[in-house]
Amino acid sequence: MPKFRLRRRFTYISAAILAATLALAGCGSDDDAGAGDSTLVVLNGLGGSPGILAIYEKLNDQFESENPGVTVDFQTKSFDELASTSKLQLSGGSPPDVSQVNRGYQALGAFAKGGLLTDLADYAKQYGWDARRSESQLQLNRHSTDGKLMGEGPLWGMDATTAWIGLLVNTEIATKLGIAEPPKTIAELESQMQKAKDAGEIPMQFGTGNGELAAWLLSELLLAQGGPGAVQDLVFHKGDATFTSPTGVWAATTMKTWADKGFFAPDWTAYKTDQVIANFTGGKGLFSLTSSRFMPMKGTADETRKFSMVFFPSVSGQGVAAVGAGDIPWTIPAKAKNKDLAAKYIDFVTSEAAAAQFLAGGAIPSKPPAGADAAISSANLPVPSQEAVSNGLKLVGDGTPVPYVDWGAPELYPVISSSVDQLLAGSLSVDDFLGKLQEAYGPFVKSLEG
Amino acid sequence: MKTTRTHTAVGQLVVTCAAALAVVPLLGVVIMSLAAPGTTDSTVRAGGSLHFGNFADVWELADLGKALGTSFTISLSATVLTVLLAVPAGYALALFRFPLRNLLFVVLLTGLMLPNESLVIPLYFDFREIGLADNLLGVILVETALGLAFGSFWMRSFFRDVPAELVDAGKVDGANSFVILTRLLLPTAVPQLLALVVLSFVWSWNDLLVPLVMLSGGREVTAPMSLAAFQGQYTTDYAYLAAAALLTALPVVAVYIALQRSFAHGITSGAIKG
Amino acid sequence: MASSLIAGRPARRRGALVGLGYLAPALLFYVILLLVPFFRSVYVSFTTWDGISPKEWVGLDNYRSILESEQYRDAFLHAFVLIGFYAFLTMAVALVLVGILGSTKIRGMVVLRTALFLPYVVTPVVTGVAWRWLLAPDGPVNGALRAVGLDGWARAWLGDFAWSLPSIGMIGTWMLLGLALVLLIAGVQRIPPDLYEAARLDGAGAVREFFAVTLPGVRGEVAVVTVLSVTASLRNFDLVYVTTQGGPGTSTEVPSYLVYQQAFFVGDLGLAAAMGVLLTLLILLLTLVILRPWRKG
Repeated sequence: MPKFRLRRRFTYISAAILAATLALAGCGSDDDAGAGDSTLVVLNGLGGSPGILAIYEKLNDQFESENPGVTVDFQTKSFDELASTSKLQLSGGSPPDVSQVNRGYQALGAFAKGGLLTDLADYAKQYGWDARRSESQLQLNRHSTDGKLMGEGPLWGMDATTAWIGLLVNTEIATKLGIAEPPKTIAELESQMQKAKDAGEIPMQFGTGNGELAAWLLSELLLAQGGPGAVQDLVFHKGDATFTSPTGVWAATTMKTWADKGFFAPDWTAYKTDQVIANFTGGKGLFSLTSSRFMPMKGTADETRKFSMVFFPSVSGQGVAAVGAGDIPWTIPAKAKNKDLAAKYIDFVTSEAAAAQFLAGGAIPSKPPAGADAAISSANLPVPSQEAVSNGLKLVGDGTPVPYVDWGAPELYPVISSSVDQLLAGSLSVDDFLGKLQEAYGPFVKSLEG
Repeated sequence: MKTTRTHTAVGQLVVTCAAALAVVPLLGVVIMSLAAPGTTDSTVRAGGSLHFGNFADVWELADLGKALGTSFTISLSATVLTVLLAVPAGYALALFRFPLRNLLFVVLLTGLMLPNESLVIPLYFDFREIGLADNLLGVILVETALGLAFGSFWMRSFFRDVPAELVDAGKVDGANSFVILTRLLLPTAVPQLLALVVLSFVWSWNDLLVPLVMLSGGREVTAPMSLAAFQGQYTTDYAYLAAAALLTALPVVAVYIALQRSFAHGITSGAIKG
Repeated sequence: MASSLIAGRPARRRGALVGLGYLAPALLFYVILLLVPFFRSVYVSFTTWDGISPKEWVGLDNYRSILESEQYRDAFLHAFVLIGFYAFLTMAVALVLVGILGSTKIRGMVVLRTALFLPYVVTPVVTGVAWRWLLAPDGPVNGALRAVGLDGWARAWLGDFAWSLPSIGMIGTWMLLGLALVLLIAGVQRIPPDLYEAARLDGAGAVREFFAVTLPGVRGEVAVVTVLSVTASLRNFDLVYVTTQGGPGTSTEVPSYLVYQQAFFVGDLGLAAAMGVLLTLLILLLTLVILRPWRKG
């Protein structure tokens, strides 16, 4: 039967293909390095961000030319991938030489506890990294070796760039409404939002399709009322901080009031963060929360001139503080093969020369290089980007950058994002909302104390 | 054949509508793939200029050629292995009597129910100890195991419904079980086998989680993993994402189109006829 | 029925061994690669473990906190709703379509069949992006509703506390319908035409034909589709992640999503393992219940 012969042939062919592919698959190994050369494996979580990747490409080329014989193997993953799989890499026998690591008790903290990272104290002394960052910046990369205390203990990583959360203003709409200056106090913000609402504009562009904006808003409101201490105490587990404090109550009540007054964009539950920004850029909304990472914004200089990025107001209107904790740091895994070279790389990307490069590309270095202001204007960035950078530098310079409140406990981020939805929609009261957050936070804090 | 003309027309209309409903959402993705690069707005807007160059761009940016090749290796190998193992397994479970037969069937079936999300990390650690982590062979083995659960169920289902006369005819002729399987039963199983091939291929191709974890330490990237190149922490380049996603879906569609003819045309009822 | 089996009476034991021999490779493969890891994860489910430091035994604590948590109970409830869409609705529509198709000649079947299978073939990322666009507050679905004057029906489907879960259910039905059709059609084409002729000679109309010939004939495929769609509804992490991420609030949280979140994001592998074990038991129970009618004698 012809069909049967065909079948047999098919079986033989597929067996052959299978054998070949299995052979290829099983012995797939890479043989990069030539004799005498070294390869520096650098694992990053910058996938999907072409702007900053371009800057690192330049930096890597420069590093290679300054260190002949060295090849930088820049392995790019998306942030989500890095956050979910770095545990696997770092615990293996051949981790990368340099790796970005996510912060948090369940990430950097767990790695510190597990002995998977190299204490950078000696390198920091050798290269003078302590002078490059303020203590409040270095603090965020510290974690005690028992994993229990964030913000104390050895230094595990150095961040090269920073980002901060601020308020985007559509100055065109503002002018139309007769608003001359961006709000400095919460009261001003509320009255401006009311004006917008009365005129039929969307006061605050918002969306909870992802959890970020909810977490940012909560962090900024806690900061606005309670100052940097309010957030820092929660994150670093100091002073018996709880979410059910008066500051917490104020923050939750404020959010709820804004929702009840219709200040948020309609159907906010349906929009993810990037859609929110896209909507805002499309002209809908007087204000929006944003991260400096959304800069540069889409559009020509003329089109983006009408947007402005300013600090989120506080109750008192005093002081320069914002949520902004530096991008995830570069660390040296404990089992890395080329530690000295890795340290050299970290030193390079956190140096002043690199800072100038970041600035030129529109990113915010963690420490402003000399002549930053001139550099910003000559970088020819669109207006909101310039403000993002200059305000960001002000923040790390004289101001107080504050961590994100969801760092306080591993479960906080998902709980905040789902509970804010329910609070704003009215299905959770302020007390129940804060109770939920405390439930996700309190037991964790207690478990670490024990 | 007593089919009325209206019956045929209604049938035609219904199926065409169903096909249209199936395709319309995907058309949105096609339009999205032609939008300007750097579009972070997930709304589909027709009417802008069409950027056909997106496809070439994403091919380079995400190194799609390599990713597709990797996916092919994995899916092809896993599919062939699955079929080679599932056919005898289904045969045994359907047509042989041995102790614990039903229990073993249920055991295999549970493969469909195991939660990848909670298994895959410990599995990675175990594989690492035996050198199967961060290489394709490990992924192929896991995908095969996952495909076996359905494969053996599927083939058992086929073999149970095979006409008794067919088997008896073979026994009468003195054929042993292997001959019965390969010469009498398998030729009638072509549609079923091809359906299994298509399904195994699709599942192993679209699986994001297992390769993501199993290959996390290496350089290999599968087609679905490569889409992450366009998904930043806060923003997604929807134009490039859509273009890349379409390109990674093409091979599977091609496999389906190539094989569907064979199970489109019916088969004869096998060796029993006439 | 072919339960006359391959092995004759005198060769019973040998027949049994031969049978086991055919089964062995697959079984071994499966046991080593999936079953053993599963049982090890059962062990992990009794511990607290971050994947790096040593495991800490906690007994039944993980299970207790899951069963006591309203969030997890709700997630399993949501899973049931999705099963209704993914499995029952899909099957109903598919059977109707197959009933119509069964004995009619459809033109352009190659193209139509390819179109029908596409939703199952594309990755969840594509599905998610496509449907987010369709169901957006100012997307085509709402546009169409408004165009026909049903403004009251237009809403933010994926952002609505009540409708987001059914919306995901509908996406699941959309995804699985093609698969169901492909499998059922393959089954229908195996039905010997003589049976149809016999039915027609008896004077059966299309509907009677369907229930008397088609449906019993695809009984096996129906079982398969049911199993596949039930498991798909419980392993839909990818889709939920791309569309709603469990929101708004917790209205679309499902067990697979919570397991992923716990294992990969929050980092307690012990708790994740416990959730996984509970999920497996649930699916096992459901599948056994559903498959019982198909167990032949």
